[in-house]
Amino acid sequence: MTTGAENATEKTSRAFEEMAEFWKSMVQTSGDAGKAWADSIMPLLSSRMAEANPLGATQGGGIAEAIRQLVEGPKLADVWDIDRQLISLSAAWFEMRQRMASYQVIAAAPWAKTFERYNAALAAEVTDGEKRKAGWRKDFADWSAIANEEMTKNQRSEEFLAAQRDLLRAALTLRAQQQQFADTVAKSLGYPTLKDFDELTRQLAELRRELRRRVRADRDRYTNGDLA
Amino acid sequence: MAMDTPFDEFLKEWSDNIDKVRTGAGLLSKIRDADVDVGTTPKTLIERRDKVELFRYDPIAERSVDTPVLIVYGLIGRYTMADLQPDRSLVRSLLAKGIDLWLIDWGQPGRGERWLTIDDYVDDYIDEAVERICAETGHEKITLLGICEGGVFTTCYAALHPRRVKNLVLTITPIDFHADVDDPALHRGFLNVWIRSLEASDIDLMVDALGVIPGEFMSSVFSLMTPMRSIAKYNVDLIDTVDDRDKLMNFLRMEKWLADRPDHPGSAGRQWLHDLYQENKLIKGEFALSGRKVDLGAVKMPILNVFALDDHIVPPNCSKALGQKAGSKDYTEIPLPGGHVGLFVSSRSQGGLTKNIADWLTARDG
Repeated sequence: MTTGAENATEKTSRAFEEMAEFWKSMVQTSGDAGKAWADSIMPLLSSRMAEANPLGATQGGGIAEAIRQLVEGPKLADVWDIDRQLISLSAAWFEMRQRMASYQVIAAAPWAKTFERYNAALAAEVTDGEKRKAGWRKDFADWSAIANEEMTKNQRSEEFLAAQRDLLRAALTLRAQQQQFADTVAKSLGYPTLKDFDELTRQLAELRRELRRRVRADRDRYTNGDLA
Repeated sequence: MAMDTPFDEFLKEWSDNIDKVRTGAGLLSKIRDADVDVGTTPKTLIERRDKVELFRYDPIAERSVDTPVLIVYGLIGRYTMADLQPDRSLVRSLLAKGIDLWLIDWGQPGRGERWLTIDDYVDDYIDEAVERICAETGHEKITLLGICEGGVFTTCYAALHPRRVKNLVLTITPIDFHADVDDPALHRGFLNVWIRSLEASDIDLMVDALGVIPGEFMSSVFSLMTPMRSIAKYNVDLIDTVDDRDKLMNFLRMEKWLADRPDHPGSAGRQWLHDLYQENKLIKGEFALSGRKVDLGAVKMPILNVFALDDHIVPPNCSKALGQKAGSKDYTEIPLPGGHVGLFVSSRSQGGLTKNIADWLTARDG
C-alpha cells in the first residue's frame, strides 16, 4: 500500500526523468541541426553572399568585362578622365563589398562550430547522468571558452588570412580611388589637394631633417672636443 | 525548509543584476568624461619640438637613484598607460622610490607627420631629449626606459649612441619579430601572423592611401586579437563592475586610454611593419637608421629586460631574443605574470614591476 506522499514523489521523479529525456533529445536535435546548418547552409550562404553585388552577379559576364576594360584600358586624350575615375570608384566599391561579404562568411564560421561543440558538451553532461547545476555564468563561461578557441583557430587559418588581406587591399584601393576623385574635384575648383599637402609636408620634413642634421653635427663637434 | 531550484537561483540573480544595472546607470549618469582622468601625475614641460614634448615629473620622495630615467613609450597608444591612475601608476611608484623621472610624449601625430621615420624618432627626437636631460642635470649618461615600440626605439638609440646611455630598461619590447613561430599558445602573436600574411605592397598601399596607420584601425586589430573579451566587455563583464564606483572608474580610465590611440606616422609605420615585423631586420643586424646599421652587439651597457608571461601582443619569445644578441655582460631578464597591458595597469602587478626596476637601478647607480 502506498501513501499519497510516495505517489507524489514517484510522479515527481517520473516527471524529472521525462524532462531529462526531453532535454537530452532537444540537445541532440539542436546539435544535429547545428551540424546540418554548418555542413549544408554555410557553403550556400557563402556563395550567395559572394554573389550579392552587381559585379559578383555578373562575374564572367559582359557588364563586368566592360567595366574592367573601361577601368583598366588605355587612357584616351580627349575623353574626360572623371568618367573613368567614377567608374573606377564604383568598381572599387563593389570589390570592397564583395571582399567584405567573403570575409564575414569566413569570420562567422566559428559560431556554427561553437554551437555544435557546446551542444555536444551539454548532451554529454546529460548522457553521463551528471546533475546540471550550472547557472548562466558558468554556461556563458563554457560557451565563451569554446567560442574563443574556435575564433582563435579560425583567425590563424589560411582562408581567414587570405580573406582579411583581400578585404584590407580592397578597402585601401577604394580609399585611394576616393582620394583621387576628391583631388580631381578639388583641383577643378582651385583648392589645394591632399597630394599638395603631402608634397608640402614632405618638403618640410626633409628641410627640417637637413637643418637639424647640421645643427647636430655642430653640437657633436663641440661636445666631442669639449669632452676630449 | 524548501531548497531553491536552479530556476529560483536564476531569477534571484537576474533580479540582483537588474538592481546592479540600475545602480550602474545612476552612477554613469553622474560621471562626466572630464572626471575620468588619466596621466595625472604632476610634471613640468621642459621642451617642445614639433609635436613632441619632453617632461620632467615633479619629485614626491627624496632622490635615491641619481641617474635620470627617461620613459619612452611607443607610437601605438599613449604613455598614459604607465600613469593610468594614482594606485595603478608605474610613474608614480617609481617617483615614490626616489627616481628622477622624465618622459617623452609623442603627442598626436597626424597626416602632417606622414614623412617622419624611425630615424627621426631615434636620432632626432630621442637624441634631443637625452641631450637636454644631460644639459639640465649635469649627467653625461642617462637611463632609458622603453615600453613596447618605445623599447625598440631606445634599443636602437642605445646601439647608435652608447656614450649617452648608462642603463637600458626594456618592458614588453619585441626584438625578434619572428620568434612567435615557436610559441605553442594560439592566442599569442596574432599581430606577427597577420602582418606577415600581407605583402610589402599592402603596407605601401596603406601608407600611401592614408598617410598614417590610423589609430582606429589599430584599435580594431587589437580588439580582434581577444575576440570574446571584446564581445563581452560592454555587457556580461560589466555586470560585476557597473555598480561599484571605484571599479567603474578603473574601467572607464582604461577605456579612455584605449580610445586615445593616435595615428602612427606613415613612413615610421612602413619601417615598423615591413622592416621589422615582416623582414625581421633588427635581430638580423640589417635594420639601418640614418644610414647606420643597428648592431645589437653594440648595446654593451647594463640591460634589464622585463616581459609579461601572457603577453598576447608581444609574445615573450620575441622579447627574450635580446639576451642572445645584446653585447652587454650585465643582462637581466625578468618575466612577470600578466599580459601586455596588465603588466602596467592590473592591481595584481602593482609593486612587482616597480620594485624590480627600482632595485635593479639602485644596484647600478653611482
